[in-house]
Amino acid sequence: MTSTITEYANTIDINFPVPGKALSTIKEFHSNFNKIQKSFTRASLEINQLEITSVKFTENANFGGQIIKKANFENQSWAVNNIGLVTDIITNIDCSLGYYHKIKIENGTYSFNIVNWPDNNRHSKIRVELNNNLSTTTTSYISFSGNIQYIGSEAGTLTLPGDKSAFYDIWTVDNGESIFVKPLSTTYISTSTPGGGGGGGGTLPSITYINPQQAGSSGGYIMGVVGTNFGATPQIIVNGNQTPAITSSSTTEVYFYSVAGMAGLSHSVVVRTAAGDSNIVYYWLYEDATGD
Amino acid sequence: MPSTVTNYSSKININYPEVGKDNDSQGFRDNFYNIQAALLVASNEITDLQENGVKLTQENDFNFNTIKNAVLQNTSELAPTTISITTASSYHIVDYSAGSYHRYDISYSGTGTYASFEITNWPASDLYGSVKIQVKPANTSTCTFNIAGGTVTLLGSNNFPRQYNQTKPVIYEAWTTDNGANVYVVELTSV
Repeated sequence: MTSTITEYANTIDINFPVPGKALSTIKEFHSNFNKIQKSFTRASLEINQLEITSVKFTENANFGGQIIKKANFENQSWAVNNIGLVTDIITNIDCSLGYYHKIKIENGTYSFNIVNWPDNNRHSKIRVELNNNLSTTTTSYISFSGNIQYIGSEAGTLTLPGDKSAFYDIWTVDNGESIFVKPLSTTYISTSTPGGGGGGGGTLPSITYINPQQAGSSGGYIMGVVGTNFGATPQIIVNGNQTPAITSSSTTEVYFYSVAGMAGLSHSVVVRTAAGDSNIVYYWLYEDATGD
Repeated sequence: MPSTVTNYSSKININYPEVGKDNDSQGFRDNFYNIQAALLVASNEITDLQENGVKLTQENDFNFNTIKNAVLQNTSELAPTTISITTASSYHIVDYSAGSYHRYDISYSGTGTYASFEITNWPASDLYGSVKIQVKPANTSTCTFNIAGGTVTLLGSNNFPRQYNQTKPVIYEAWTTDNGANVYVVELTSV
């Protein structure tokens, strides 16, 4: 956009007053002063606009999603989001707060939900550090919520020696519709074994994939996990979301109804019990609407 | 910061001189003063924009101010010229501020090469900095590589120094969030 100050500045009569001529009117003075003032007003507006919208070396700059093109970067750094110790099962990672997210964990079940991805058709990547907050070895069950595709190794049981860290690169190109997760090292990660079909039995690992073979249903689903020594309040997380309605719980069986988003063939299910997953005997799943 | 040009320009008396009055020449001087003052303010504000504003036509040093909510397209990162390693044992400073991708080619033709790399000039604490180091052995005789400085943790089951018998380049990515006190390294060519 070109400056429009000259719209007024060009009309200033720079030959007024004319030498040797008596002034016939003083309106020319008024006209010139008026045009000078209008030129300043226009200049002020334009400077204002530049100051509001320009990037300065001396301030942080919010580009509002605009594109920086054909730039060559040297000696740059990225913002760090220090989340600290998490105690909830589900933790949001806000990728708008930084590229590198430092999270402290202890023994437990953790599901991480990444929010505020950039718009569709933007490649956005974050790096997550999970650091053992304790000086002793911890065992955690790690999952990431959403439509996750693991590259190299799935998340799963994470056994971290004291003070050690595990790292994950996570990216999307479609606003988080599909999310890719790549552990940077599998040293501390043991991948759980996929489970069987919807009605199948067997031992349920802490994280498993169940295939109910009931895609596209509008009805709800019922899932149950049967075992021993679950404790009074077992927790179930499906696709990163803690189930909203555990309708019954006991020390031997838990089940829940109508969990949204169960239609489809692949789900991430985490069951956290007082005694760990070794006590799970079998699990089942069927479609509520049809009773299949 | 809004422009303050109008603090003076609004004081210009656009009705001076007044019709039918014996106008004091002070009115002219007042107007000229306000015109000059407005020009000086405009000049300072434009100078600030010229000195501190990002230019599309030259290098821009952001001094670690934050660039937020930006989409990068067709951008690149500086990769300094490849350094040739000509001796059996060598120590190299990898200057983070000089670029993000540092290449080393071993041209020493003997056997038993050892090269150690120390990364300097990391960003300040609580900023994440990452750099890649590529080392290309000259032959399949044993090459030993080490990354030093701070507490260096190589992810995976191996530790530094690492030994190789290959001609393919070895590429490491190293990063820190505490100005290099703790440096994590992943060997990209093995993951």
